[in-house]
Amino acid sequence: MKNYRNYWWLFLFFVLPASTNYKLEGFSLGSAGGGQVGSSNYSINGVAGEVGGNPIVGSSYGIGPGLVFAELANVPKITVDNPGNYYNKLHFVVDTQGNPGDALYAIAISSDNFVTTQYIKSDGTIGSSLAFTDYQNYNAWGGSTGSVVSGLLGSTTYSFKAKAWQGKYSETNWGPVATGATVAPTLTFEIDVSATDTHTLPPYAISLGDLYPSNVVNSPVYVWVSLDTNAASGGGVFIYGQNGGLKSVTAGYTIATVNGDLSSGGIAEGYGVQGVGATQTAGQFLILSPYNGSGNVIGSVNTLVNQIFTATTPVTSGRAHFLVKAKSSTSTPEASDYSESMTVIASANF
Amino acid sequence: MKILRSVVSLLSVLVLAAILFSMSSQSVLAAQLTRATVRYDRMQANTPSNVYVTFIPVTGATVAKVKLIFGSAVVGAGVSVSVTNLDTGVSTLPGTLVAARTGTSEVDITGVTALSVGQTYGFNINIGISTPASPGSAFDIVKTTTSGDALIDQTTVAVQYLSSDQVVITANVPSTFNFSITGTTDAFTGNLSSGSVVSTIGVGVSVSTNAAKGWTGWIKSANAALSSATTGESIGTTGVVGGSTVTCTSGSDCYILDVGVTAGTGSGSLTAATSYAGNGTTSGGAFSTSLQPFVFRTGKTNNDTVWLKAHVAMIATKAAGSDYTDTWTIVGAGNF
Repeated sequence: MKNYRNYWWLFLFFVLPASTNYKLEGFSLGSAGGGQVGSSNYSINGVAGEVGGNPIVGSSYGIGPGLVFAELANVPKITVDNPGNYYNKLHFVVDTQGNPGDALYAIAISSDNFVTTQYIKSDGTIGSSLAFTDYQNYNAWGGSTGSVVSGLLGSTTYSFKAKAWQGKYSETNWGPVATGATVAPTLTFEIDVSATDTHTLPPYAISLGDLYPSNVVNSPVYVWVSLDTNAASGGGVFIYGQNGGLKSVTAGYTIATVNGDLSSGGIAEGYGVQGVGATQTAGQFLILSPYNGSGNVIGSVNTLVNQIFTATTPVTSGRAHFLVKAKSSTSTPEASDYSESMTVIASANF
Repeated sequence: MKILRSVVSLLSVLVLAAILFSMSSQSVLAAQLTRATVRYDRMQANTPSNVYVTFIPVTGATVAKVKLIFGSAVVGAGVSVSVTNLDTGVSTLPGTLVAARTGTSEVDITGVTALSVGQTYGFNINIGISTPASPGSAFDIVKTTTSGDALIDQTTVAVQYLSSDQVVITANVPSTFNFSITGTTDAFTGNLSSGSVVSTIGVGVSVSTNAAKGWTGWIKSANAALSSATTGESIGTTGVVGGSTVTCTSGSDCYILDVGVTAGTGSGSLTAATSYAGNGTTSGGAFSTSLQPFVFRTGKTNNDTVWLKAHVAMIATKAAGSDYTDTWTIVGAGNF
């Protein structure tokens, strides 16, 4: 192992004997150790004495003087797919092609079919250089389950290839190229206003009717929202109001939005919303505090953007709904034009 | 071995030089931001919107600019950046920030100073952004670059625009006037006597109303006197209706109304009518057989309470009887 670390660059020498800038036609070495000898048909796998010059090939023999051609590892293959509908990562599995368990593999990746090349690092990210630590054995690359490389661009086809080495001077060339594609990032959001879970069209309106003192009124319909996203960190639904409550222009008065229990005598009058339910077919869609109360407990709809529903991972078919509650007091001025414009929005965390 | 090493070293230099020359021609792909969020305050199409952006850098290079490339939103003139109203856990984008548009689909924020990898940063583009004319989906890009515009990290986010993102909520608050009387009888605390002034226990009136101009209470007496059918005698009211209060004195016929008030919560003031604002024991005002106001509230209120009681004195020769009586009619109304 120590020798290897001292002369690790020799591997590069033996597997890259030529480039567009140079070519080693032949070279010589001094006296070195021996190698293996074969049968009567012979193959010498070693160096005896000091020899030099180009390889010599006869009708029944060939000599590569000065070079010790160690046995190379088997050239590995690699498979790539996108089972999670990822927009920023892909899944790959190394095919060892029969290499032993201590063989090490490096993986290259490119978005332009290796016009430019990067490498998958040992932590699953990509980098522009290949370090020794990026060579990992089959198990470290996830074995038969494989691994995931992250930090990729969406809607992009990536090319992968792998190479292996197992012991000194055994590094292979790159194996065959396999490709996989990331999908586009997605966000789908919809609003409906209905007494039942039904698709509706705008304009969206809710009439609370008459607000009598000390009587909590529920909206006759719900506000329904749908959220779908493949964002790795999920997303959320947010609400905010224009007036900070139900405002009457004629009375010059606003029934302020509040957090709390409208049943409580401590809240003489107020307005807000209460989350009723949230479901999904994948991921998790939840109601956030203070909108997750029961009874007549409400969360406020003030002029700041507040999050009412959340998903912390990708969510599929997220569907949630909330209702509006309000109460007047005996001192709430009578007027027929109390109103509020509530904005309902969504975003995702890619 | 020594010779071998020296030869190998020479070869390694040649090979390494070749490799380095070869690698220097390769391009480096940018990394994805660890996370990026673009939130429009208005998702409705064709609407001006504030844009709130948060991101987490993944590369430790010196970031000098943050760029937003909008897939469909339109950047107008006068864009500005702010770092107020950020969510909890989001750090302000550091630096002397200046926002400027590049064309109609890009906003460049310059003046950004060193960012920490893994830290969440946020900012707002306050004005100058409009959602596209029609609903639909789009992709926006958040980028970090060096001062020379070399790309460091970037992430593409999906956004959506709607036909409408608002729900209009309406309500009606009707006029309310709640008026209640605590009982239907009011007895004297003891037998009437020529030697003292005797009062009734009193009846209460409770009122709540959202009438902006308050409410008024009225009272009338059936007899303007306490009358006895069996004896045919009566104790008549004293004083002038609507005039000043009078005080009953022992030994003289006197029958007057005294009113006291306790204001609830609301606006304006609650006061007893001047002619009935007695002292609670011996003074008050003359009853009338027509409705007379006994209390005024000048604004909306929750739970005003008013008590009404009679004070009586009589002459020594008043005929004895157990049926001296009067009937009060008490009403109220809100002033809307």
